[in-house]
Amino acid sequence: MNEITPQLKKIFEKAQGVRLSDSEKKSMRASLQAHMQAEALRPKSSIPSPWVMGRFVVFIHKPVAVVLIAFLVLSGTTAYAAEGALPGDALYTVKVDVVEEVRAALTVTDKEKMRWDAQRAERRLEEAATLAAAGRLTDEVEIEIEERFEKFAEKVEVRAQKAENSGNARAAAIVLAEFEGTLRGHAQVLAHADQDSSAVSMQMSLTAESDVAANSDAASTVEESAPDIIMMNLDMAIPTEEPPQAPLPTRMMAVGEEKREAKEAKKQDEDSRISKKVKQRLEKLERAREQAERKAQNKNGREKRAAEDRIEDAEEALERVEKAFQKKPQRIDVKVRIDDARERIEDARKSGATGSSSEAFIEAQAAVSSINESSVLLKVNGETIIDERTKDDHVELEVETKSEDGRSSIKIKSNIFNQKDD
Amino acid sequence: MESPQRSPESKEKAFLEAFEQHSDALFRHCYFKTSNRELAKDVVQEAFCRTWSYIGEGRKVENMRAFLYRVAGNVIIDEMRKKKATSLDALEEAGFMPADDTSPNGEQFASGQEAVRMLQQVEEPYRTALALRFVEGFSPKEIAGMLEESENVISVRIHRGVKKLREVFDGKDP
Repeated sequence: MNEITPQLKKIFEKAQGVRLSDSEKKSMRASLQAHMQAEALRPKSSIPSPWVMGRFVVFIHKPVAVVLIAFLVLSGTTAYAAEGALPGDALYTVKVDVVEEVRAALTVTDKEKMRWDAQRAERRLEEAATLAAAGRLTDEVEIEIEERFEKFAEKVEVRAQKAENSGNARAAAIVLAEFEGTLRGHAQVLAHADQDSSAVSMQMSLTAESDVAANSDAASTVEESAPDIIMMNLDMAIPTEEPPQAPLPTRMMAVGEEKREAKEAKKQDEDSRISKKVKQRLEKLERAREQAERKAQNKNGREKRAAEDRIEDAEEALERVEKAFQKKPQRIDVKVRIDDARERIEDARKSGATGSSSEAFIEAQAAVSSINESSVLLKVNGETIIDERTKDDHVELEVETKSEDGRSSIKIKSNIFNQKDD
Repeated sequence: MESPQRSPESKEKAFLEAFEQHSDALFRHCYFKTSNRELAKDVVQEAFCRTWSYIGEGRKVENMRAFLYRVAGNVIIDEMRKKKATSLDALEEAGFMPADDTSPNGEQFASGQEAVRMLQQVEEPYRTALALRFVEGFSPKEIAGMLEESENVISVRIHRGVKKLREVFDGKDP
């Protein structure tokens, strides 16, 4: 390097004068410090570039979230953030595809699996009701809910069929009866949502029909009975504000049969997609339940025990729903069903005492079904109730936050009086 | 330079010290290479940021100065790829921008510009080798480490660079 002449050395020395100005350096330092602070907040990854790192944040956090949710589920707390999510909410898929799946994975027996699937189907209907009440049930959301409902409802039936084939028809019959009652309740809830104010009276005649069926001693034989009974009931109940214990007429005359049929036909057209699906499903469920009950009958020996257990289930469920009903004694539709359940339990006991256990079992089944229906109807108006379902199921606390309770029933009453004035 | 026992605060402090210490030389290096003051500034900034991210992942940097030059070299390559459309002429033009008058070192900057102009007439890779050796004072071994070349290659580049610079000098100022 002895070629470096003093002139060249001077060039290099002068070149050293090239530097950042103070202000340039200051602003560069500030930017660097900002970068360093941002970097401190980022989780570590193996990719050095900060831009690439940003993308990895998502993948790092996802498993954490899943573990957290799994932990919450396992700890027995079902009241957490995602649970309240509705279709369209950010957390909704977490609720359905993560939280509910985790719970599904925790079920062991056929009965548990069926019950959970039934509950998942029911949850979709509850979501639909909540959204409808808030005026947020768009066509797209409805289709999504309907698909999910169908998926789980179908699962229940497939599982029931499997259980029957593997000699567990009793469990299948039990869950199908419960599910049937629940769906019946939701069919009415949805019908409420579907109808506009002018159609309120039609809904009530529809309700009346099932009320009579429920109230009758031999429900299966009463196919077309008095449609106007509920109006009579309400006429009596509302102006005088009779306590729920007031005796209700069990049979009223059938009037306006043709008129009712016409209304019914018109009603079909007004049904929402979900409403139709629920009704179709109910028909299928009824057949499946009857079939399971028949198959269960053949299992002699354990019949007596099964009937006794079922009566106990029904009694426990009845007690719970009566408690919830006390807060809303104005709900005649619920009262009719509760009375029906009570009668059926009594009948079941009588049948059991006279040795016909299979009849006792079927009566108790019908009682549970009615109770489930009542439970759904009570929940509709946003009342907070503890729904424990059956003793061996998960204890579940369901809190619904909806508009002021009792509103829709008041609306119905007034509409009925209006209609009567016509 | 980095030790895992250090607290995050002292790590930050050490890195900011490194910035004070090396930013001018790094800027010079980038300026000689790109002939564009603004681009050189961006490259320096980016090189420090990338280096900090690297340290933030818990990795060690043995020789901070050499590491910074290497990262800056990579950034320049990235920039060149991004700005492929920009012609060399345009870059050179930008390189001969007047001195920043707002700079307190404006005079110094202006006096250095004549030297820079001469240096810039030495083509790459000799220019960089020359600047690192004589402007920044690195040993050929250090330069070899920074540029990921053998020491022998660097020595040859320095030798040829000096020769070329002398030609430029003699041609301009006989």
